[in-house]
Amino acid sequence: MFGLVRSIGAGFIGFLESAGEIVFLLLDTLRCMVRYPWRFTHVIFQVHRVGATSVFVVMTTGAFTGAVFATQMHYQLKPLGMATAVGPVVAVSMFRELGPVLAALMVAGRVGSSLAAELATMKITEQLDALRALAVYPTEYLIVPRVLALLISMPVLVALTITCGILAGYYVAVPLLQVDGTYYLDNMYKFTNYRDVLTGLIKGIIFGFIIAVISCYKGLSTSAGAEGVGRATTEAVVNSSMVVLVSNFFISYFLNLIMPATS
Amino acid sequence: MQKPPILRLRGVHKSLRGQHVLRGVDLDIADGENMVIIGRSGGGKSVLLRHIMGLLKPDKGEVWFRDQNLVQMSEEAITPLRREMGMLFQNGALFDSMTVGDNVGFSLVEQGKMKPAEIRTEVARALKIVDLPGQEYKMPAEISGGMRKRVALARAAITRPALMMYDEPTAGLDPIMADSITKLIARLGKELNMTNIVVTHDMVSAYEMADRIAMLHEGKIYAIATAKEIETSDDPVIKRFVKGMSQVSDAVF
Repeated sequence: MFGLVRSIGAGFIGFLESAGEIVFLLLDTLRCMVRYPWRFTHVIFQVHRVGATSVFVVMTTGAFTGAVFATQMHYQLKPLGMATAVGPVVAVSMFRELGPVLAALMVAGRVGSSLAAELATMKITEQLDALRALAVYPTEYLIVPRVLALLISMPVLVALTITCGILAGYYVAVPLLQVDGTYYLDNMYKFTNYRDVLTGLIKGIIFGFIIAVISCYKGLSTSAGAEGVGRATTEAVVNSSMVVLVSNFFISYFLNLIMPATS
Repeated sequence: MQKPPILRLRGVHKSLRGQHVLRGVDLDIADGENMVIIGRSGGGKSVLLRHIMGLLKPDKGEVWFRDQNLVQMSEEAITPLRREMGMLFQNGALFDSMTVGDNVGFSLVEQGKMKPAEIRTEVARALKIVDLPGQEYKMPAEISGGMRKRVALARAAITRPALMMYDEPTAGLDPIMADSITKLIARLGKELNMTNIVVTHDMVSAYEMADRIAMLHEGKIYAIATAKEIETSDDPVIKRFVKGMSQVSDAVF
């Protein structure tokens, strides 16, 4: 009994410790962003690495989610005589929830793991110490370009996911399930507005930040050995995905207060 | 006449993973001196070097580089000071995503004072000094351990730091290569007027390089003396180490 309490307590303290360290890393990163000139070539290289190579993955994810969502919605709404409502339903949910969350989960899996593995390997092979020994501050050299790259890439990837989802939804509903295309589009335009677009992009930026900071933290805080690298990689993906999903609720709640979904 | 010390350690204590590795290290290193630190594996020699670089902070004690106490400085404040120091890591710690040439020229690029063409010339010159001419475009994974060490040496020394630290520069090298590295370190020290701190348990190279030898034993500096004095010492601890004699209690099997 006492052992159980102790292990729960230790887990809780560990959680608080890493939460605190993540906050420190975050503040340090923000400070370095302001304090040092940006390394544009590094940022571009990272944008290519984390953003450009994720394009195909998020487009596929968005397209098939949009397609299956349109199909299911059509079966639900057609008996009610509201088949053309599939358009706005797909569009609004893609913009507000599915687009940003799905893109973030895919990026967390692809990019979060590779960031964590890279930094963890650099740490255990003493490359981080070598960097410090060569008078370069690791946060400024390694973390800032990676965080910036995700901040730049994520809104674009989210936009691509949304676009593919809406297009796929249209091509499933209109040609395949024979919904009236004109009303489909008309309803979609009527019920979707700039606030939905903005919500998606804001979420994209926040999720990009979350994935970058958590994955970098996991990489930097790895313990020795190949096993440590493996653990850092797994934890980067799992933790950033969970934080994305949990924070999504609170961000939605907050954004709905200032930018309600209904027009 | 004694020059003022470039480095002073006072009562440095450090525990790592529950082990009390350094138990009050006091050490003065004079400007331009070649100091060799010997001691048993796992005895905290590398840890000591990391304290001098400010890569680790002591639990207790002071580390003075010139007139600044590194212990009280933030990581960011120490960073520019490290331009005056160089360190050769045990396994080289080359950046494996960069070519050999980019590794060697790293500090010059970071300092941003030289044009790319000048940096290329300087890198070529540095690689020639460590006997690796024309290897700029190889990746660290493509070269041998000994070569990696020499590349790392070129990378650390290219900015001509005032204080160079070497963590087991000859470990894992064949005797001929070890000797050439030893000579190289001694030559660089003399030509560039650097202070050298070399951690090693290779006594042959220790005798060759050292102005003074410090022995780290049980977390403290057990003895500091000239190479000659260490070689001929009658102290049982020193004698056992330099002659490489184990006791029954040291047996590992």
